[in-house]
Amino acid sequence: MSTLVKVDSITKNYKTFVLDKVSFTLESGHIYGFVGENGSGKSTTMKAICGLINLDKGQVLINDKNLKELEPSDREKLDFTPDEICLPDNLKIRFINKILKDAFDNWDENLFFKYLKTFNIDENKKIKELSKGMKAKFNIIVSLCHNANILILDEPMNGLDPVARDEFCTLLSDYIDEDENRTILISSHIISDLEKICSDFVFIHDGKIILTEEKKILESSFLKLDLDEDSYDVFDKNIIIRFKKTGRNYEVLLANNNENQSIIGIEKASAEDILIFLIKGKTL
Amino acid sequence: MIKKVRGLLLKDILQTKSYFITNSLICLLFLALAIFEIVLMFDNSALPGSDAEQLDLLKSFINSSFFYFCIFPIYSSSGIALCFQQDERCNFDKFAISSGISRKLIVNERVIFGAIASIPGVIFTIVAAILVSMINNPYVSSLTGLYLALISFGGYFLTIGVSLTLCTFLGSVKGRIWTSLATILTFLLQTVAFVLYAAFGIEHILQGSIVAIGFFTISIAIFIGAYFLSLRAYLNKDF
Repeated sequence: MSTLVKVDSITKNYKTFVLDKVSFTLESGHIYGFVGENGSGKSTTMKAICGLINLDKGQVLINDKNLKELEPSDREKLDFTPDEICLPDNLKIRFINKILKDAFDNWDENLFFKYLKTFNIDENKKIKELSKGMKAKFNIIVSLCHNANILILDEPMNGLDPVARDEFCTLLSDYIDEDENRTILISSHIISDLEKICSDFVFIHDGKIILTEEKKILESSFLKLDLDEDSYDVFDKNIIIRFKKTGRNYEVLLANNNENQSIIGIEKASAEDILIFLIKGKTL
Repeated sequence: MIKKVRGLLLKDILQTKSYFITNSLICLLFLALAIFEIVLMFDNSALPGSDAEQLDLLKSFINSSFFYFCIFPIYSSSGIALCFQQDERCNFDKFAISSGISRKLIVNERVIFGAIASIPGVIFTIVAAILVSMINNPYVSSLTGLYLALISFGGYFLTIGVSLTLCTFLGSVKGRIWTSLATILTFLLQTVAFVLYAAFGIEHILQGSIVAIGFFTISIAIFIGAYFLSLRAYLNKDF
């Protein structure tokens, strides 16, 4: 396992938003779920990793080299896939292949047509003629076919139905399994999907990283309990890490230990639960 | 490098196919009009007798025909704006930059595309300049056509440079509006150059060369400045 991407204290100031000293690393063989609210800085961080924005402070290292100093061939190892296809939608897919074959040194034409066949995408169709699900698949196919080993995916599952999302998750898992020198950073609002495929989570809130942890550690670290008002009043407040009030009830986040596991009604906290507790929850 | 530019050019050309067809057809139409005007004005049977009359006729032709030499540089500028518009519509720049295509390469490709978009107009300019050089008039020499062509080529450099800069700074929507205004300015500058040439350059080769070569040189200087300005802006642009 090696560090493929090091995001080192990057800062970007906008008029209404600040990306504040964001730091984390992406290791090979891992799929990272990048989680946060709308406007928390996910897309800005992803753009920074891919060199789409100029940073005020900090740096992004790809294979220990500064992003700005990368050779074009090394640069192609990194791919950013936004939530929409960034290719001319009035062109036929076979022409897109011709364009990308010239534009990228590492473009794998055979793999491209293999994926098209696998996903029943007609090469004679224009991109605009594809359904939303097909477009999302085509978007990821383009990323996979120029042999990038670092995929940065910004909300790639937006608008997909559950079946398409499942296929999408399988595609990403296979991609990582094929070569262990690969990594993926993926953001999504649907955290349950991320939980299926991600090995790690990076939580961002208000332009700051609030937690970076392996999924298995996260899952084994926290428990969640729903309490009504009366039960909450008599509950031992010292063991509550965070709590939030929903109507007349309370939800509390507890550490996962033997003692807490024995509480009636306790359940494992999901990544989504943890995120909500971290952002909306309060400490006593 | 060349392969990458080829890929990007293919994208732009495929997207602007109809623009190229229209451009070429309009070129042909204006070429036909230019030939018609030359034949009409310099038909041997209708030629006036004295040198002074012939000089007036030539001046009047240049003053009226500048339109043909100016219209195509202007039309070529919309090629670059169109290319920007198409790329912005699908966020292609975001895709290209994040996938390892250098920003400098993208700017260079747009300049090359601007040059390619100008090809029908350039062909027209050359043919028209050759036709002008062949006019049966004592004041016409091969330099007459060359100077008119130089003023016209200056217009190409001006329009490509100006539209590249405006679209890079302002984006295709605002950029296109400003490009239209800048194009009118370019048209006026070219007109001034043609009028100056007709007034002082036909009889005196030196003055003619100063007007034509001067305008051409200034245009190239503006184009080079515009290129570096655009490149700098694009290198620092956030997407």
